Order: sequence, then structure tokens, then C-alpha cells
Amino acid sequence: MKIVVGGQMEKKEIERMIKEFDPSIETTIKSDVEAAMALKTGQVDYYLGACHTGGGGALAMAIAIIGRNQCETVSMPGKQPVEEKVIEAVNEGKKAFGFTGDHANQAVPMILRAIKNKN
Amino acid sequence: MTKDELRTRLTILRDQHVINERAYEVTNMAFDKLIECLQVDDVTQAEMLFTHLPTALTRISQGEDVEGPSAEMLVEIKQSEYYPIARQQVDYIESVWKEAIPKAEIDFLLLHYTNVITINQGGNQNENCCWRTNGKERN
Repeated sequence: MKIVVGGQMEKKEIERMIKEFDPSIETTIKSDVEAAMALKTGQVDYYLGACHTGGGGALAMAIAIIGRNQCETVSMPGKQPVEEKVIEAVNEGKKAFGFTGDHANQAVPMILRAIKNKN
Repeated sequence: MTKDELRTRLTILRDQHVINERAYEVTNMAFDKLIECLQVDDVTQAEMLFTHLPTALTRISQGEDVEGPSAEMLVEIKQSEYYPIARQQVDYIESVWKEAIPKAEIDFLLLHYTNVITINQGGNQNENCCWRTNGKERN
């Protein structure tokens, strides 16, 4: 599986968390635009990104480039990620996930677990 | 980020209906105001701010709320020597947006602006910047 880390912040930390979850996952770090294009062109399977609000810098360009129906804001300020919603989004076929930087340690493993157990 | 890079980014966001036309226009004005203040053509690491700003304005026009940044974060940015410029820039955005902007969104904008201005070390200190006119010049 290939995952690109886009968004606007905590990129190296997110990549570290992905590797910690499963070292066999191939990761790359790109700008938000390049990351969204990598997903659109099939170079990667999933996009993860963080910003301060979860849906702005993290996902805005991905929404524009691959479409809103493939993107999910997993957390926002004051709204922690919810495992059931993440599982639902992954099973619906969503490919790009945005979250706030301070929720990354919860959101990243939650997203990866959902992908691993995808129906 | 240059003006051309901003325009490309905003056009993609507008054309795909991620941001609305008014947010597009106000963000362009905000970028012009910042480069006028900093006296630079290329604002380093401004992508997050100028992606956040139009999406925040679009969110505001759609009546969506967010919780603001932590109090600790706000205390930290207010201690920055660049905070007065950030405040000036955000006041400008409010003036051209012509509607009240929720405090949580204002606080996020202050956070983003203070970060960007700090990264750019205050630019080239335009004499029209508030910190200079307020006597808050850098050492």
C-alpha cells in the first residue's frame, strides 16, 4: 500500500506514525497539490494530511483535485476523530483524510486500522 | 508563495467550488496587503495561511462554526514581535469582508499570520506597517 502525506503541517510526524503502524506501507511526503495529484493519477492509494482546522489546509486542495466525495475531515478543533465514522468513510471508498495536527496521534492509527480492515 | 502561485491555487479552489467567489476576491486582497506590508514578492511558507483563509471565509459565509485555537497558543503568538502586523492584516480582512468574523476564526487567522510573518522575519519593514508607525521597530 502507498500513502502520500500532504496537508500543511506535521508531515514528518505523520509519516513516522504510518511507519510505526506498519513499516511495509510505502510513504511519500509532498505538497498538498502534488499529493492530491499523486492520488488522482493512481501513484498512491491514500492521502493523509493535517492542518490547524482539519479541513482547510489539510484537505482543500485534495477536495478540489479529487472531489469532495473522496475526502473526509476526520477531526476538527474540539472534535476528536470518531472510529465508527472513519470506518464508514473508508468503507465508502474515501481516499483522502484530513485532521488537526493535535489529533494526528489518534487519527492516523484509526485511519490505518480502518483501511486494513476495509470491507 | 508568489502572486501567480496564489492565483493558481485560488482558481483551482474556486473553479471546483471548494471556496466561493467572495472568499477568492478577499483572499487576493489580503495577499496584496501582506506583500505591500512586508515589501516582498514571494512570501515564504504562505500556502497554509492562503489555503486556510479562503476556506475559512467560505465556511463563515455558510454559517459553519469551529472551535478556536488553544488559549496557550494565543498567549504565545501575542508575545511575538510580529503580532501587531498580524493584527493589522486580520483587521484589514475584517474591513473588506464587511461582516463580523467569529472570534475563533479571527484567532486562527492571527495564529497563521503571526507564523508566516515570523517565518519571513517581518519582510523588509515597509514604513506603512503598523509596527513601524507604532514605534515597534525590530532591533
